[in-house]
Amino acid sequence: MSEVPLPLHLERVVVHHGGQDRRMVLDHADLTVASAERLCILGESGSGKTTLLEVISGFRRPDAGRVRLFGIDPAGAADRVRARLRRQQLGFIFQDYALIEGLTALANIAMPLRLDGIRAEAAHQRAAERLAAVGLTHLAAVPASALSGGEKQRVAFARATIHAPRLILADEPTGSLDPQTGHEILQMILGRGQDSPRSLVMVTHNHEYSRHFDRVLVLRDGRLHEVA
Amino acid sequence: MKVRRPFRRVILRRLLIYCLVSACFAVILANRIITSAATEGFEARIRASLYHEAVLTFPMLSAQKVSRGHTDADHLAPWTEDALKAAFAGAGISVSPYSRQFAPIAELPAAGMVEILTSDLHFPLAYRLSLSPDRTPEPGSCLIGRRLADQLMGPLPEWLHFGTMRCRLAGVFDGEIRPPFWTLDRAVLRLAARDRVMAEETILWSSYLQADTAVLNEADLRAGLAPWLEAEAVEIWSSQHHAERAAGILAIYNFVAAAIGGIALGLCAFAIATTFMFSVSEQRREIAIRRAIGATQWQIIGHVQIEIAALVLGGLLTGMIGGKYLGLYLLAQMQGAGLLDPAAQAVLSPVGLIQLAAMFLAAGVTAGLIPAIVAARIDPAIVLRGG
Repeated sequence: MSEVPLPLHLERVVVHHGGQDRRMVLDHADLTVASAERLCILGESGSGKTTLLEVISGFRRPDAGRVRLFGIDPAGAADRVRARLRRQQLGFIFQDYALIEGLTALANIAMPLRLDGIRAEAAHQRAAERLAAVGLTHLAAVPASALSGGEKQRVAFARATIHAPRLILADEPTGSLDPQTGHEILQMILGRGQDSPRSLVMVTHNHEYSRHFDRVLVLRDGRLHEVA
Repeated sequence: MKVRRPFRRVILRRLLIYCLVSACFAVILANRIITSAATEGFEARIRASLYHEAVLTFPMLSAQKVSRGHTDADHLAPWTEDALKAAFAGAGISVSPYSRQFAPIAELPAAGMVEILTSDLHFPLAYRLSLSPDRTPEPGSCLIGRRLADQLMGPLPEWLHFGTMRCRLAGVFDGEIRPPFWTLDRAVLRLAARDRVMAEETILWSSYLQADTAVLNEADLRAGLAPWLEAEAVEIWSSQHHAERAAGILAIYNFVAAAIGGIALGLCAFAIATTFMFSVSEQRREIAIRRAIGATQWQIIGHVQIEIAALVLGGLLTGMIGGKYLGLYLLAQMQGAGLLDPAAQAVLSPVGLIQLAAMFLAAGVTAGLIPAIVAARIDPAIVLRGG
């Protein structure tokens, strides 16, 4: 029986920023995320959290080290493999929601399925279910540009989970929200009580959220430090 | 669910491309309609007479039986007709010496009598030659060319003499146009002065030959004339020459039409490339989001190309309708103004139309490749960076 690959495994990853005055942002960082594990990565602004997410998602190739996302090197894989990985295994939640303003909430949510070749009708049906799950059925036909911050993040969450990803990458998902809404969004992301367990990597600078996670790491001086 | 695109600038740019493609295609189509109407009759006329017509022109002195002392029309015409009919009767060719053209008349004596006349008084009217003095030609009257009139030095004579005939001088015509050869039956008959010493180059004879089925090629004509004329001296303008000349004219016409089409096509392609480059730069974030959530580079290229193809197809459809009506309207106007034969009709083959549309589509999609590739190479990380 073949071994199921870990959702995420980083080994001695090095990333530099800048030209001549190169600054080491990730300094031989190691990270492993187990299946269904909820991991919080804390770090100050400029500590390299976003760079870490770029490396994990394959947006950036590390200068050194090894990255394995479900057993695949995301930066080294062919474009179609990387794209399939993103639309089938990963769910992204961004601080600024990253919705396409001109599309309706429903169309935004359906997009990963549409990109995966699912017909519009089926995709929109599933999107409507996800929209109902986040309590925004009445906003289905509203353009993303007309939604409030909380509504946008709910839509973004629905989009990130419509294809039942095995790993969710969240980049300061509550950073632009008020505490109450932020808490609600966090509970959604943590996915308590959901049927299909999924792993979660959330980067934030808000220490208050750390108690909700299985494991907390701090990104400091380019390295990830375990927090008890 | 309908996708809404509230971005006004994006919509305006799309609209610009749509209108440009429509306009360019309409112009090309209208041009094609007019061209086809203008050339269709021409081609048909050439095809009808192709290879069965010829015009012979030769110096009279190269004809063995023509003596230098007998150069009047009464003498020349029967002999030439007999000679040509004898030469070609066996080949089933009919000879119609309809044109008797004697030229040039450069060595006229200062005081000699000058004879010149038209065989058709409608000649100046047909070719828009102005008459001076302003007299209406009467039957039996003659016209004299301006150049010849200037050589007469002094007042114009009232009568012109040629051979044993004379006619009243009706006026002087201006213009040096040479009508197409099939209208030579209206050409001017010119006779040299009575006491003029003729040289081979001064008197020419033109004859029009027509055959029902036989091909009047140059070699056969020369062979047929050999017993009667110095074959090398005969200038032959067969309908083969005519067809070649017509083909040359048509080629130029088609080249001009193709150039107009090419410019329009290039303009569209340039507009598509630049407009979509702008659009891509404005939609960097949207494209990056698509990439971040799983779009492949090919999907992004396809997305841009489908958008371009839809715009071009829409523009083509509108341009096809607009171009058709524009072309027919212009055709009617040109026919009304006498620029085109009123009976001329536009002939557009569906295959040609489809080819033209396909060319536009291909040009649009090709022009869209650059912005599409630029779009596909947008770094999805800008979503994370909030760019």
